[in-house]
Order: sequence, then C-alpha cells, then structure tokens
Amino acid sequence: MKILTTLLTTATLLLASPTANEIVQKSDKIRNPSSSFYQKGLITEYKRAKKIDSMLISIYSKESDGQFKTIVRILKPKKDKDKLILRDGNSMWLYDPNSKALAQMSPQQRLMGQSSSADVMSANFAKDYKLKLEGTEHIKDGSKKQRECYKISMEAISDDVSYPFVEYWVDVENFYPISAKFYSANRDLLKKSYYRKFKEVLGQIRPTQVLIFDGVDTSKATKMEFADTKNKELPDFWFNKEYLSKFTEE
Amino acid sequence: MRFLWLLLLVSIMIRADELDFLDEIDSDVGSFEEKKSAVDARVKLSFLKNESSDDDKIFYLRLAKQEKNYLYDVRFIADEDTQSFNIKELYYKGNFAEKSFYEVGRINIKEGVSRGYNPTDYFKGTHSLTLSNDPKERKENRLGSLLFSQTLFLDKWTLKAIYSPKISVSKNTLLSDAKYIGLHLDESNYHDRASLYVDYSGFEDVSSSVILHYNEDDLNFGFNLSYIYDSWIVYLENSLKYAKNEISKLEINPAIRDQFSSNKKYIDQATLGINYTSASNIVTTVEYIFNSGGLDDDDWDRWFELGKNPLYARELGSIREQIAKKESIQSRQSLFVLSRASDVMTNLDASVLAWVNPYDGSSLSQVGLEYSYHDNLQTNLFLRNYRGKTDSEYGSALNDYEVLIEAEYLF
Repeated sequence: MKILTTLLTTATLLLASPTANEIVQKSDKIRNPSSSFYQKGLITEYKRAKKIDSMLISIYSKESDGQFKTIVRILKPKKDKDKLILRDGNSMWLYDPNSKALAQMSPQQRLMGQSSSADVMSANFAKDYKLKLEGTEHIKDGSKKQRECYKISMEAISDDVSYPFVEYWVDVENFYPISAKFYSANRDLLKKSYYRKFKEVLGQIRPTQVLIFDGVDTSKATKMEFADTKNKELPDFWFNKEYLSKFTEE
Repeated sequence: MRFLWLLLLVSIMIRADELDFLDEIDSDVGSFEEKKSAVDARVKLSFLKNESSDDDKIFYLRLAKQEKNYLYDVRFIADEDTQSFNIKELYYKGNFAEKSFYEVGRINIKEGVSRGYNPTDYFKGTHSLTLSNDPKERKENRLGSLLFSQTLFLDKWTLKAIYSPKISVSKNTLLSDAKYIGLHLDESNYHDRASLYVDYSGFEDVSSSVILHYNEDDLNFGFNLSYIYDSWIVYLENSLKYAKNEISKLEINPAIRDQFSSNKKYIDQATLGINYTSASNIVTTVEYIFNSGGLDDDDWDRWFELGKNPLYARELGSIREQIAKKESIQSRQSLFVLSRASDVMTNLDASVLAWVNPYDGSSLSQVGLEYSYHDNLQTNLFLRNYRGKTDSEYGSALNDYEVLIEAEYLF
C-alpha cells in the first residue's frame, strides 16, 4: 500500500511538474544575474579540510544572446596579480601583463584546486545542454539537509561547455540549484558540486557559495565564494582579446 | 598483509562522504579584502652555475605600475661586474573616442599565437634583460620599442596601427648604452617600422588576424589562425616577405657571406602548434617551426657544410649570438615542446621545456620547479642541458649543463 501511495505521488508530481527546460531555465536565472554585473570571487582549496591555497578574483560578466561573456582578473596571489582571463563562447584567452603574453587556453585548464577557469564563468545550462527530467529524489544539500529535488540529466549540445554530461538537482519547492555531478565523455565522474549560502543578491535569492569536490578523491575540495555583486555597465568591446592589454579596473 | 591494510585504509579515506569535512571548511572564513599597493615591487636573486665560467649571481629589482592612463615597468639589474637601470616600458595611454585607444612611449608589443617562436612578432628588439638562451625567455624580457599605437574596436573587428621610428644615436650616451642608465634606443628602434593589424573574432571556435608590417626595406605579410576543440587548440602563425636572406644582414666574415646569393627571395617563417590540457591539468604545447631563411636547398646544404668546417667554428659562434640577439631562429626546422603541470604537490609547479634541431639532432632541454612558500616568496630551480656535437646548434653552447636557482620576493 505504501509503495502504491509513493508511486501515485511521484506520478502526480511528474504530471504536474514543469518540463526539464523550464526547471533549468528558472534555476539558471537564480544562479546568474541576467544583466551585466561585477562581483568578487574567493576560491579556497582544501585537502582533508586543511586550507592549502586561495585566490581572490574580480569577475565582469555580461549576458549576450543567452550566453555569458566574462573577464576574470586575478587579485591574489601576488605572483599572478593582474593576470586576465577572457571567455567569449568557446574562446578563452589568458593575458599576463608582466610578460605581455596573450595565449589562448582551454576552458578545462584549472584555475585553482578543483575549479577550472570555466567554473568561475557564468553559464546557462538550458542553452548548452539537451535536458531530460529523470524524476524527483530526496538528496542531501550542501548543509547536509534532505531536500526534494528534480533530477535532470544533461547532455552537451554545444562545444562551448567543459563537461559533456551533467546530473543536476534542483529544489522542487523554489528551483534553487542544489547539487550537480560533472562527467567526462567516458562518463567518469570529474567533480561534484553543492550550491550553498543562499542570500538576496541583485533582487533575487541566489547561491553565494559553490563547494566542489574531486570526483575520485573527495577529500580534495574547493570553495568558491562570491561577494560585492553589483550591476555594472560593461561595453561589448571589453570582451575582445585585444582589449585585455588596455583593461584597467574601473 | 600490512600493504593490504594500508590500501583498505586509503580506500576508505578516499571514499568518505565528501560532506564530512563541511564544518571545518565552513569554519574557515576567507577575506575578500584586496590590498592595493602604490607600486608592484619585486626583488629577485639569481644564482647561475655552469662548467665554463665563474658562478653568476644576479640581483634584479622590478618596479611596475599600471593605471588607467599610464604604465611603467623599470628594472635594476646588478651582478659582480655591471649595474644597470633599465626602462623596459614607460608609456601613456588615452582615448580619442569610446572605442578608440592610443598609446605612446616605450612599449613591448608582442604578436602571435605561438608559445615558442612567433614569426609575426615584428617588434623584436635586440636588447633583452635576461641571460637565458631560451628565445621565449628573451622575448618576455626585452626592452620595448619607442612607438605610437592606435587601436579601434568595431563590433567583431579590431584594427590596430603602429609606427616605430628609427633612432640613430651615438654610442656611450644616455640614449644608447651609457654605463648605468643607457636607454638602448639604438637597439630597440634600429629600423623604421610600421604595422597594420586586423583581427576578426566573429567565427565560432576560430580566432584569426592578419598583419601587414613594413620594416625599413621589406614588407611582411603575416597571419595567425587558431582553432579550439574541446581540450585541444591548434594554431598556425605565418610570416612571408620578399627580401634578402638573413645571412646578408649579419656582421660576418665576407668569405662566408659571399657564398650565398644576396638577391631578394621569398622568405617564409611558420609555426604550426598544438596545445592540449589533460584531465590532470597538465598543459602541453608542441610546435614545429619552419624557416626558409631566404635560402634554397643548395644554400642550406652549403650552410650546414660550413657548420662542419672547424675553420669557421668561431665565426659560427658569433653568428649564433647575433641571431639569438635578434630573437630569430637559425635553423631551417625546429621543434619546441613545453609541458607544464600546476600543483603537482602543494604549491609546487613543474615544467619541462625543449628546443630541438632535427637536422643536427642537438637540443636544449630544461626541467623547472617553481615553489611558492607563501604569497610573497617564490623559489625556482631550472636545470638546463645542451646536447649535441660541438658543431651543432645547441651542442656548440659553452656549457653542457646549467643550474639556475632563483628566489623572488614580491612586496
């Protein structure tokens, strides 16, 4: 009887639930502000909860045709200070003001710990992936609390993404992003992330922290925290690799 | 048995629930505070040890600052014999309009997508602030040229025009090579040079640019193309000009120079490269570099034969030095490999670099370890090996081995 009730509840929920696309679109709007914005990011790497390294960055991001263009400027550590990373679509460039070198880089290249350069860039999952709603599940969120979530399977349809396959959990109640697992083309688990510390940012409750664990050695963790988020007018020509040598924080 | 227990223990530790460490991670509160300093100052001590000469101990002081309207990068270098103050870059920047930028002053302009050798890097100087024989290192530490540059951004297009005048100055003056504060303008501005650069970023996954460069008596046409797919980047950088061969421009024994035609020919230089980022974050670059040098097959055979003649051994050493100073390449074909792994251990980066001359089989290889003690102190260890016959490109170097130890403090 209990099984029948559960099945009926699940079936009712699925029939009444929004589509995978609607869920991910709503969740995308919570993860990223839709306007152009500035924020600071603090990335801290841990091994068995012991702090190993940290990096402070400033992020300039702008939505264009449903996808984000982003400039990241490294503020700390000192040896990397003022290096700039630009992402526009699949094109990613690193500019080093010390050597004046401008080099193309892969979005998979790690920035620090488990976080790749692409991870700190804003992204719209709904645009880049073929989505499938797998149903609902109760999972532990990033505060170890049980939450009922939509489970979405995502398969890349765009070359612009760093992970070919993703499993994504979105809160049934409010469409908050809760957790994601990122897989390689061979379906090996690369990393698992938790979206945490929800606060009001630019008129919307959004996660201000992402905790990323290595797919194999889960004692390796990287915490990405975001603060000082504000709307900022960002001209299109800033997101041109030739502008990086002229970029100064304003 | 003990090994099995250890394996089991490690396996359990690895497979522990990732959220087990949550409380400790949450208790670590980081700071978003950015300490702004009036100037970016670094002090570096280098210790170079090799077989042929006394150990070199070099002190570097770098002061730099980038602001909205200006940039400066000045360096003081001292070893046991010489001390010099160098203005590597100093320029003013401004706008004529919102998308139109100009820069004027001493600027280190660098073009090209390649990592090892850049055929389209036209604003090479002949004065570098490093002792390294690695062309990549020389390129990153050269003095900028005195120039005016104007850049215009138009949607997906970028247009850039650069003019750098020839500056003739007498020796032993402040503007040339005065002992302590020579500006070396005769070396950074040794020719009248101008470039017109067009970049287009409208193709998905492809980056492209073309450059027309005038250099006193020859006109160069260059282009850069790069394509990204997943973790791979493939690129081609090419420069073509109709000019006299490079040998005719060197200060060498006429007996050597006269063996080669001084007629103008097409000179092509190209770098074809591939870059791969592995899942374990090792970034590897392999480049094949071709240099026609304005020589035909017979000329190249003659050039290689000269290399085998012991009578010209000293002369060839001087030629190699001149070519290295010009940041050019002396071989018809070269291979460049660079592999870099970040955080191989906590705060430790490792790199392997190699330049190979496939014709004579000689090579320069380098293993590097870079360790950050904390945010301010970085130490580097580089081991270099020159391998090849004594008449070969890299085998003719004065040393087989070199050890470079550096300690850099960032204020």
